[in-house]
Amino acid sequence: MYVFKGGIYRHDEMLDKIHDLGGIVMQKTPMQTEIDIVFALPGYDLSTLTELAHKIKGEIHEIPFGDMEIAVVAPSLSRHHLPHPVCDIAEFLRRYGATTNIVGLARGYGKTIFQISDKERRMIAEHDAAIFSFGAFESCILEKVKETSSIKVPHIVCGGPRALDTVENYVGNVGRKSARMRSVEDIATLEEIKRMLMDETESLREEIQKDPPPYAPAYVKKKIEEQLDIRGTLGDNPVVLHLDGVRVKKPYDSFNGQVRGVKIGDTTLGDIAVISRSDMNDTIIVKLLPESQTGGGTQ
Amino acid sequence: MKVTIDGNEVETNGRTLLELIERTPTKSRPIIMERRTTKEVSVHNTYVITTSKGELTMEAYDNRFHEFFASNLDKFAGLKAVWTDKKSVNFGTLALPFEITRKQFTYNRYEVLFGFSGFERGQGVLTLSKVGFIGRNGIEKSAFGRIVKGRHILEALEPNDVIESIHEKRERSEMYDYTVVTGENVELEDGDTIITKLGVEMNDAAPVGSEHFLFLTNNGYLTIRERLATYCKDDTLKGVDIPSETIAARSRGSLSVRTSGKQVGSVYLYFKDTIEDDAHSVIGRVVSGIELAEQAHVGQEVRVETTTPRLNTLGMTQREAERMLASQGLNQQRTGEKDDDAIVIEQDPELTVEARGKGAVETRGIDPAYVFTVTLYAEEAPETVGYFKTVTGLKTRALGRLDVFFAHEELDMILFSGDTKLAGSLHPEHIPQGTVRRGQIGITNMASRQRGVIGIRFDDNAEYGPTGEDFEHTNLVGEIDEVERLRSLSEGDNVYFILK
Repeated sequence: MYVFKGGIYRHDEMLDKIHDLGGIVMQKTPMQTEIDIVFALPGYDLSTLTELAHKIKGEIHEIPFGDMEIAVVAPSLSRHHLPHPVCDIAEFLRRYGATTNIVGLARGYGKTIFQISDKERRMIAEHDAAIFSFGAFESCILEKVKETSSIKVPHIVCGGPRALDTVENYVGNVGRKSARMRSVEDIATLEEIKRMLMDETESLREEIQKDPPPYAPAYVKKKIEEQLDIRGTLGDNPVVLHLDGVRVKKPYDSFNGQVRGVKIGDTTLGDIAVISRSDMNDTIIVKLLPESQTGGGTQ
Repeated sequence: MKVTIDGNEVETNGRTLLELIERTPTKSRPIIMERRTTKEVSVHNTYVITTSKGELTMEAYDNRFHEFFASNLDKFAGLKAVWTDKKSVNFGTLALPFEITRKQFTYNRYEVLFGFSGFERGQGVLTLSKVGFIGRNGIEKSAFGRIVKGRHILEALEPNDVIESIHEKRERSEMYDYTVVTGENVELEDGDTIITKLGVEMNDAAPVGSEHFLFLTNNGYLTIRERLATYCKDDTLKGVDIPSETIAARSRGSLSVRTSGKQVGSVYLYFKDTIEDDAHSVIGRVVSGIELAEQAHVGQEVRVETTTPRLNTLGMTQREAERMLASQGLNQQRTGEKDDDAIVIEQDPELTVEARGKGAVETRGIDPAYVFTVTLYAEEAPETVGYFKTVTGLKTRALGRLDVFFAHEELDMILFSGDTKLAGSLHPEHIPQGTVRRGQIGITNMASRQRGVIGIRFDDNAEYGPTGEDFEHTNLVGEIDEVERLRSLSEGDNVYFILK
């Protein structure tokens, strides 16, 4: 996923080129005389677009988390754990394209009684990655981190102590905060979270590429948006990209049939994906099956 | 020695490359020679396990368990699934040369490992894990690989399913060595492939787009104006509006035409499989020789041969049209001027695809007195030539037409209607110097209120251009022969033009 940032003038040339190269424009945001174009592109000719962007005085950046939905998990939604670190992490990752959801656990308050329920586990597993923010105290983090061993998606753990050798994928300096994470040190910490998350999800991406779905999630999103009336959806991003599918923010019971019937190439979405009810607001989760199970596609 | 030329095997009998092919390649119109070597290479540490329920692909770790596995592949073929559960599928049993331990170890999801059933050395099993688990498998940390493809088969495997075979994954790797031949003789080797042209099949579902392509390649060549990894493009007909006829996936070899945007009318040839797009209408596909376009450089032209030649008789005489149509098995119905020498100005149906479907073509002729041969100043006034071709229709046809807008017997010039809107961006270009000669075609440029008007003078004039404007308001676009014939025309008459 990439974003073009430039002027309105001649931006149509950029749009034309993206379409010529088989790219998909995900979002266009004009702001007075400036425009942001978020797009997905097969990797062959990015340099051509970069040259064109340079020519029309714009820039192209990669969005590392543009095709991911990430859960940021706090032990509770009370002021004991919120708002600053969790919101700062979620907001920081959004700058790099991620769709982030903040999850406050029902029984996450207090180290001896800490639990992640089955429902919460399933909700977190719907995401591409998770970030746990476990507060300021070492003893508390060491207890709570045991519960994350059953989380199947790539995840990292954040906490107050600067280093915890026994905790895997740990980022320190994210304890209880009384102000926004805006200092140089705080921003460096957020960068460290981003870097670690990129490393963790890179291996997942590679694994998916070894047996990829027949159609790219961005293409599936495009098809769903073309064929389903999703204008009435209150969410600002009705079809959210995942690394191996999409989330459709529509009630499962009324819309799962339509989602299954979305035509893609010679087949329907129901034939190439597992479509299930999400525990999050009764939305629809579409997990694309790998090529070894479904046969080939065009992308 | 045998070589393949455009798909046909040919015995060389001592002939050189240039003697074997129909035309001599040049720097601007090259051909390519392809020398292929096919190699089979093993993909290191990757194994394909074929079971009675399907194929699994495993990537192995570098450890002693993998070494044992790799050197005893034949021992694992034929093993049956002895038990399956929520955690794993276990194939066995066989003797394994590893130490027995009763400690428990952690294994990850989809890992492949060795174990002992009942901690007995003779009861070794090959375990494919479905989930991550902590277990006492009898051997210390014995995972040696991970299933990366076909994971869904793990759920389908049941007791008594069999491992039919295991082999290291091999991939055929085709190596090509291309030589772009531009004139000099190249030494041939047995089995070489020579590609001199693209074989193209048009898409009957896109009659207008097909006609567009056939007109573009009327001289037999496609010009590479842009070449990327995804596609190459010929934008000679950029600006010509084309309707969207077939929106479909652009697979390798697809020819598409852009139907909107600044590049409307440009033709694209795709090298990579690409998704469908609303701005691209798929008009045909290259069925052979795509490598020629892939190897050619920007600015070079590649020969194109379509399976269905263009059926367009505009600008021909009725006699020539009859011969051409007969050669394609079509009947001619003459209307208008029916003499052999009359020039065909209309054809029904005009599109090749439709004409072929109907089997007969109606050709309307006109007295050759109304048809003029025109020479355009493409070098000196490219923008104005583009305007002239668009207004007359010469951009997409062999025959152009202008309507007389003003003519009078006492006036030494004739004026034709133009397109005011299109001329709004017609910059001053190739302005007359000194004198405008008789027969020169002038167009009023954007600097004047009467922009777009086209005119021709019957006599030389040193003061005003062919449209009656000052020189700085006039662009010279070309000239015609036989000017005197224009004097007899009056308002409302149509005049036809053929490019010299």
